Amino acid sequence: MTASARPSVPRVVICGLGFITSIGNEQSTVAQNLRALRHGFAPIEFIPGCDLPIKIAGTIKDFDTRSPHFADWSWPAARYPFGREVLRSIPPHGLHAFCALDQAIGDARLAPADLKAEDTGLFTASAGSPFLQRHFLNGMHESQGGRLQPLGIVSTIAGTLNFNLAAHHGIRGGVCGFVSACASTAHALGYAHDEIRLGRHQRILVVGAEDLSAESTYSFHGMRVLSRNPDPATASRPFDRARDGFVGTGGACALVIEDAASAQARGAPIYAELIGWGQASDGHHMAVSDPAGQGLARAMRRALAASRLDPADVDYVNAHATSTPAGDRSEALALHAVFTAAGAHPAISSTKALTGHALSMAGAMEAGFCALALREGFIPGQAHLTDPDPVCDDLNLPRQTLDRAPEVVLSNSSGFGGSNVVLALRRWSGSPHGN
Amino acid sequence: MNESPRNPEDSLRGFPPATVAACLAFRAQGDPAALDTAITGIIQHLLPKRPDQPVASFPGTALLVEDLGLDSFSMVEMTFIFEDVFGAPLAQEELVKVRTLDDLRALIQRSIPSGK
Repeated sequence: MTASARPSVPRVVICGLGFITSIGNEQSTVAQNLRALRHGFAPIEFIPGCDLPIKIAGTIKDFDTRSPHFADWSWPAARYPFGREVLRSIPPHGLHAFCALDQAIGDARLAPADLKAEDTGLFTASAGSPFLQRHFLNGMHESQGGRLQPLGIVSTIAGTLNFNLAAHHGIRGGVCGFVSACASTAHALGYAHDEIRLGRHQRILVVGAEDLSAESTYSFHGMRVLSRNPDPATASRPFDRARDGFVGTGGACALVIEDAASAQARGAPIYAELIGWGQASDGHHMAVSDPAGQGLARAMRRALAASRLDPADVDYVNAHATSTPAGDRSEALALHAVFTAAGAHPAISSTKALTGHALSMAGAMEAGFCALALREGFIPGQAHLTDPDPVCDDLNLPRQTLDRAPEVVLSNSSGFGGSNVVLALRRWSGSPHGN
Repeated sequence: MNESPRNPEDSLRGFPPATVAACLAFRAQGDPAALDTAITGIIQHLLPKRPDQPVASFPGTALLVEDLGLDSFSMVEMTFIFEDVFGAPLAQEELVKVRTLDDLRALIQRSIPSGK
């Protein structure tokens, strides 16, 4: 086949965003808070009445899903009028996911028929709902096996977002869940990119969500990786010498990933081009990052190579850095290996200083933040950094937001088992076809 | 296996006040009119999709699945609630024969312990 006869490879874009996050439940609020470096932390009682050492979290405002009974939940129901048909089979983070996806679908100007098209897919990730599962399983044991909630499984296991969102929207393309812990939705975005580049799908909805609960969040205290700092202004401080762990959060984020030509034809807003991605594993430990950051460095190099970029082309890296002593150090070393060693000094920040760590939804949320930064022309600063860890010497960690439009951005994610994923995004311009 | 009923107020969490009131009135006084209000109110609330007209206005021959839109999961939930509210254990072999609203009414009435 001659080059002229070869079908052009579609460019892949982000053309719809939805956020239910600790820093805002609307895109405009999220963008304002990212620019202003306003955090979303508030006091929380993970187990009511217990004086636990973990005092704060990235709470979701205007939603109350603390009860296992959806009849007790409150949310902006006038905006999101979901009834029993939806609520009976979803966990708390499922409600957030339905709302975030509703925003993203509207933002991307997708009609119900677009969602039902055979080349529309859905990729999701969440850890399921151990909170709701505990409630149902307690009922099973208390009744000695007599009372089994009929929708207990589909509303609680990992995959609950797939089951519910795909059925609700009539998705007929590929539907798949991703399980690589805190790299899960970054994986989902990477494979969504590939599916579209390969011409298998025209668009894929990518949704990440997590419960914010004792079961999903406070459980991490067992590993001693949560910050004990009760001060919302300093508890999450990635790359700071005084960091002592991450602050948990939940919520949901949804992105519409689409063939640029089809997004443009519909008049959808194009936030950014997803130009490539890379992944690599540490091969080191089931829960601790490789101290030298070699896996993450390899993932960044692969993302750059797949996107035909040099380190010097990158203007901003949205770091995974969760504010744990070991993880941030590992990432700093990986950033040195890829950028400092090449004489490149992109701006670097971890927006988890503002949001907290959203676990499996972090990759989608932070890719969404990068898309906003690319479209609106700013680089979020490194909030809460006062005394940088010496390992960060020579890394460019701006303390304030930069009013500068980045051209190329990397978004890093790392999960348990040393699973590293790096997404490369570029400011949108040009034709819908690449090569 | 322990299938002893839960507190009916717990089982009826989120149900419309009129349905809860009818359930409690039947439990307290055994009023047959309250029983039918309770049955149709419970079904109405458990339907995955809101019907065009109240369940109480459907004829007794209305089919639970085809006409009202009840699904198998709702049937299981409904069974638990009837057992909790009316103290009426609904035998699985009887339940599978239920097709219409009147079938269900008859089964519940047969299953309610005497004295209620």
